[in-house]
Amino acid sequence: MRIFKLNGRRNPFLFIAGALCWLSFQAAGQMIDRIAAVVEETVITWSDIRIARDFQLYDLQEVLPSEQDRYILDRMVDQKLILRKMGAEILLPVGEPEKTLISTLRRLGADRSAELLAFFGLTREDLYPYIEEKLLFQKITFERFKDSAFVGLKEMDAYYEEVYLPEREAIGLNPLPLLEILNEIEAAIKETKIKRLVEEWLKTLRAEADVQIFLESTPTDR
Amino acid sequence: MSRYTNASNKQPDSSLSRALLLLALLFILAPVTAAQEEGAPVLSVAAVVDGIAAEEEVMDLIPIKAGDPFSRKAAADSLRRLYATGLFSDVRIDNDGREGIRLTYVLARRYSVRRIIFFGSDNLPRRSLNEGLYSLREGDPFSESRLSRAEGEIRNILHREGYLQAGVQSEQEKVPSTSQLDILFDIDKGRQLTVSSIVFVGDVILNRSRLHRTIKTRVGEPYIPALLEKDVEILKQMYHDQDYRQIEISVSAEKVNEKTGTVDLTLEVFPRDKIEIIINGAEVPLELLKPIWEARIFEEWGLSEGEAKIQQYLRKKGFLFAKITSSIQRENNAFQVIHTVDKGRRYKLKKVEFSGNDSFDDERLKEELDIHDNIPLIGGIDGARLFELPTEMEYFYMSKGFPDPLIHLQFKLEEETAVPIFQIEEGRREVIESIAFEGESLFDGRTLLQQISSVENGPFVQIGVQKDIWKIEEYYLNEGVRGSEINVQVERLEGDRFSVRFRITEGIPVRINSIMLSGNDVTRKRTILREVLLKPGDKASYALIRESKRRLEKLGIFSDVKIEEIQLDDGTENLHIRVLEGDRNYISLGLGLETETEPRTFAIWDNPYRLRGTFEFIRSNIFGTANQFSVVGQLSIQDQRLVVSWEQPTLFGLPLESYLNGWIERERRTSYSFDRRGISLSSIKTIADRGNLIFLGTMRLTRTTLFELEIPESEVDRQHFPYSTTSISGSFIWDRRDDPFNPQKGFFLSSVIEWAYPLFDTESDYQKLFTKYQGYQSLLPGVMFSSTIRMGLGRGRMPIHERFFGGGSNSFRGVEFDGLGPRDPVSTKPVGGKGLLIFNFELTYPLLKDMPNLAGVVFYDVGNVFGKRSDLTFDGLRNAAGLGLRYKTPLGPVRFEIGWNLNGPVGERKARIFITLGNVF
Repeated sequence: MRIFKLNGRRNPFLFIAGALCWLSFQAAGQMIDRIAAVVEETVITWSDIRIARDFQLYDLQEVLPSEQDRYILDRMVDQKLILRKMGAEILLPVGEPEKTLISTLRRLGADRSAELLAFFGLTREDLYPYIEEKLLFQKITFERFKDSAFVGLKEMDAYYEEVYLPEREAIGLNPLPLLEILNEIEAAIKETKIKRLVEEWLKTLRAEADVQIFLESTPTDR
Repeated sequence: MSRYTNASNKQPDSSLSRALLLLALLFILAPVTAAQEEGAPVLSVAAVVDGIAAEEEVMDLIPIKAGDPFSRKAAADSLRRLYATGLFSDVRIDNDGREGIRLTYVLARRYSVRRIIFFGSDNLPRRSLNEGLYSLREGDPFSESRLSRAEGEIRNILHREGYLQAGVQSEQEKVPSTSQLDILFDIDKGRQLTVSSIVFVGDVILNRSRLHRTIKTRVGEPYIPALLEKDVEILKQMYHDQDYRQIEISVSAEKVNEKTGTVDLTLEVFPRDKIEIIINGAEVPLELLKPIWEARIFEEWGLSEGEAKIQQYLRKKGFLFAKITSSIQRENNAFQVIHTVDKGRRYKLKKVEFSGNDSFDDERLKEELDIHDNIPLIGGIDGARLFELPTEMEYFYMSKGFPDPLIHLQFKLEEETAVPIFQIEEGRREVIESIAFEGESLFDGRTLLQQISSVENGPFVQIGVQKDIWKIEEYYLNEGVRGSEINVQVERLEGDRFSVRFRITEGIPVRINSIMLSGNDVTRKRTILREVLLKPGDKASYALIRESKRRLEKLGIFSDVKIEEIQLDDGTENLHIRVLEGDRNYISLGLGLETETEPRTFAIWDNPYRLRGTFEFIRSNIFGTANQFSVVGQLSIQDQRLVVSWEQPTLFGLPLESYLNGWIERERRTSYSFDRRGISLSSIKTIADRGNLIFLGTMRLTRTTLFELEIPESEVDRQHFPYSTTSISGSFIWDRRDDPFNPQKGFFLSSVIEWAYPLFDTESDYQKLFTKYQGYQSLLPGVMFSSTIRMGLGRGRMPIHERFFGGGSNSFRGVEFDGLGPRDPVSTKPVGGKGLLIFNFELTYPLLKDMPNLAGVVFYDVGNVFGKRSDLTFDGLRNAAGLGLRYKTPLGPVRFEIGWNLNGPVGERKARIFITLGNVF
C-alpha cells in the first residue's frame, strides 16, 4: 500500500482516489444491455426491466429493492406467456392505454418523465407496448376467471368473521354490518381467488413453454 | 520517522490529496458520463463469439455502425435482431470505452442437438423414449430449459412403463468444430412395483371375476400404468357391448408400499344409464348409431342425429323416401332409444336431369359436381349423395357469381326406377363492372390486373375478390416488396353490377444485403450457394427464396432447410439459411423368394424355392459437395448384379444431375445367358415447369460374353465374342401421371434413341429406337381404363442381347417371359427381333365396397416381336386376353392375372398365371 502514502503517511484521500480510478476501469467495461429472458423465442431485455422499473409500471411497494428486477422480469414473462396463448382474442377499450400512459407520466412528473425518456432514447409512443401488454394481461386473466371465481355467502360470512372483524378491531374502528360491505368483501375474495387461479394457470403455462431466464444479478445502476 | 505529522506540512499534503481526489472523480465521471450520453457518437463496434473475434458475416448482422449516434433503444433493438437470427443463445452489449462509446457485442453461439443417446439400466424402453420425447429432438436448438423439460418427459415415460422411481441425469458433449451437441441421458430405471391387489368399486354390474380375467394387469405382475390405461379402454368396450354407453372407469387409488415394493390399485366404475337402441321396420347396423350415445348429449339431439344416419343409410340402398319416427322410453337406470322406420318403396336411380340451368349445360354441371348416370353392374349416382347435391350446386352457382340460387330436387317415379330432376332457379348474376387500383406506384395497374382472377364483366364473387387480395400480396412479395397492405372496396352500382377498387399501401422494396449459412458442418458453402437463386444486391423475391429452399431440399442431403429473412433498416435484409444435415450412410437389405419355373395353377407350392436378395449401401454428401457414392448388389437365380455409382448434381459446372456407373452382371434369359461388364455416364436435365419433362443423355461402354446359348449363333454373335459396345443414347421422359405407383389419370411418355458406333476397337454398329406411352383415364368412380403402347425399331448389326424381346407379365400376358416373336426352329427358343409393337388395354373396376383397395381387371394385349423391321405389320400381331385381381399397395398394385393366348396353336392356348408387383411397364 505504499502508493497510498504521501510523504510517508497514509493518505485516505489518495486511497479513495486510487479506488475510484480502479472503479473507472471497471466502469469502462460496463454493460449497456443484455438478454434477461427468452419466452418461446421472444426476448425480454435488461433495458425492458429498467424501463418498467424507472417508469413505475408495476407496484413494487411490497417488494424488496434487491428483488425488484426479478419481480418485474417474472411479471413480464407471465404477460408474454398469456399473450402468446390468448392475445389475439382480446382487445383493449379505445383510449385505455393512452389514459394509463398519461396517469403514469403524471405520477412521475413532467421533468422526471422527460429525463427518463431522454435517458432511454424513447418517445411517449415507445411506452405503449409495455402498458398495453400489462393491461391485456389484466384483462385476459380477469375475463377468463371472473365467472369461475364464484364467491358464496358462506365464504363472505367467514371472511367477515375471520378477517374483517379482527382487522377493524386491531385499528380501533367500529365494524360495519356485513350487508353494508358485502360487495367489498365479495370483490376482495374474488380478487384473491382469481389471483390463485391465475398463478395455477401460469404454473402450467411455464411448464409447457420454453422459458429461459438469463438475469442472474442486476448490473450497476445509474 | 515520526508518526506525527508536522502541522506546518499538513496543509500542502491535504491540498494535494484533495486535488488528486478531484482529478480522480473527473477521471471516473467523464467516461461514465460519456458512456451514458444518448446521442453521443459510437466510436467503434466489435463483436466476439464464444470469446473469439467475430467474422465479417456476423458484423454484418449488427445494425449499429461506428459513427452512428448512440441510442439505448437502438441497442436493445439490435440485441433482439441478433437473437432472432437463431445463431446465438445469448447476446450482451458492453461499452469498453473510457472516453466515448466503444460497443462490444458478446455473443454465445447457439448449439443444436446432433444425437440423443439413452444409456444406463438394461432393457430401457427405447422406442417409447424416442417416440415420447418432444421437448428435445435431434436437430432442435438446444437450451437448458428444454433439457430440463426433456428430463421430466423421460421420467413420465418411465413412469407410464411402470418405473415409478426412475432417475434421469443428463450430460452434453460438444461435437468438435461444429455447433452441435450430443445429449446423453443416464437413466436409472429403479425398481418396478408389483401389483398386490386390484379392487373394483362402484356400481360394477358385471361379474368381478370376469373383469379381472379381461384385463392384462394382474396381481403379482409388474405394474405398468400404460397397460392399465389400455385395460380401462378394454373394460369400457365391454360395458359398451352391454349397452352401458356412457360408462366411466377411472383409477381412483394407487397405494404404493415402499417397503414391499407393491401397489394396491382401486378402479372405480360408474356405469350411468344402460342405453338400448332399437330399430323397427328396417335392418340398419346398430354400429351406425352407437357412437352417438357414447357421450352425454341432449336426448333430442341424439334422436335427430340417429334419424339422419338411418335415413342416409337407407337412401344409399335405394329407399329414397323412408320416414323415421323416434322416441325414448325409460325404466329405472335404463332407457331405450326406439326408431320406427317406414322404408317405403325401393327405387333404382337412372340418369340425372336438370331444368332451369340456363348458364351451364347438363354436361358441365355433371362434370363440376362429379355426377355420373347409373350404369348397370357398375353403378353411378349414390342415393345418399343425391340429397346433398342441391347444397353443392348452390355453392357452385355462388362461386360463379349467382348469389341467390335455389335448387329443388324432384323425382320422376316409375315402377321401380326414379329419375332425379334438379330444378334450378339461377337467380340474378352479379357482375364486375370495373376494377381499379389505388395507391400503387411501384407497379402499374395493368401489371396488377394480370395477377388477379377477377375480370371486368366477369362474375363478382366475394371469395374470389378476397383471393385476389392474396394474389396481389404475393406478387408484391415476389417482387421483393415487404410490408404491403392490400384492402378492397366494393361498391354496388346499378342493377347487379359492382365496382372493385383495390387500395394498396405499398411497403418497402427490399434487396439482399448478405447471405448467411449455419448448420453446414460438412456441406461446403459453395454447394449450398449454388442452389440459392439470389445473391447480394438482388431484390428479395419471395418466389426465388421459396425455389431456393426447394432446390436445397432436392439435394437430398439435408433433413431440414429453413431460410429466414432478417430485415435491416435501410431497405435491405439478410438471408439466413439454416440447414440440418441428414444421415450420410444408408444401408438396405432385401430378401425374397423366387421359383425357378413359372407358377402353375394350384402347383405353385410344388416349385423349388430359392432365396433372392439385394444389398445397397449409399454414402451421401461426400466431401460436402452433395455427391453420392453407392453400391448395389442383387443376387437371384436369374440374375446377379453389382453396380457401383457416383452421382453428382452438376457436370463441369453445369446444373446437370450426372451419374457415373460401373457394373458387372450375369443374367439368364430364355434363349441365352450373358456376362456383361460396363461403364456409363448419364446426365439428366429436368424441366419442372413443363410437367416433369426429363431429358437424359448416356454414354456407355460394355463388354458382353454370351453363354448357354440355346439358339444357333448369329453371324454377329459368332464373329464377335465377347461383344463390346460403345454407344450414346438420348431419351426424354414426360410423366404427367397423378401418382407414379397407383396412377388414376394422366400419361407417361418415354422415348430412347441409341446409336452404337464402333469406337475403341468395339464391334457395335447399330441403332435402336424404343418408345412407350401409357395413359390412364378414370371413367367412373373406381373404374379406370388404361392403355400402353410400346414400339421398338432396330437397325444394323444387333447381337442377341441387344434385340427386342417381348412376353410375360409386363408386356404380353399370353406367353411366357420373352416368349413373343420368332423362334429357333430347332430349339423353339425365342430369338428376339429388330421390331417390336405391343398394345395393352385394361379395365379396372371395384369389387367390394368394404375393400376399396381390391379391384378386378380385364385386359387385352395385342402385339408381337418381328425379326426384321420390314416384317412389322398390324396383321402380324398376336392377341391375348385375360382377367385378374389387383390389390393396391403404396408401391403399386399386387397383380394376380390369368391370360390366354388367343393365337397360339391348338393345345398351346393354356391359361398362364402371373403374380407381379407394379403396373404393366
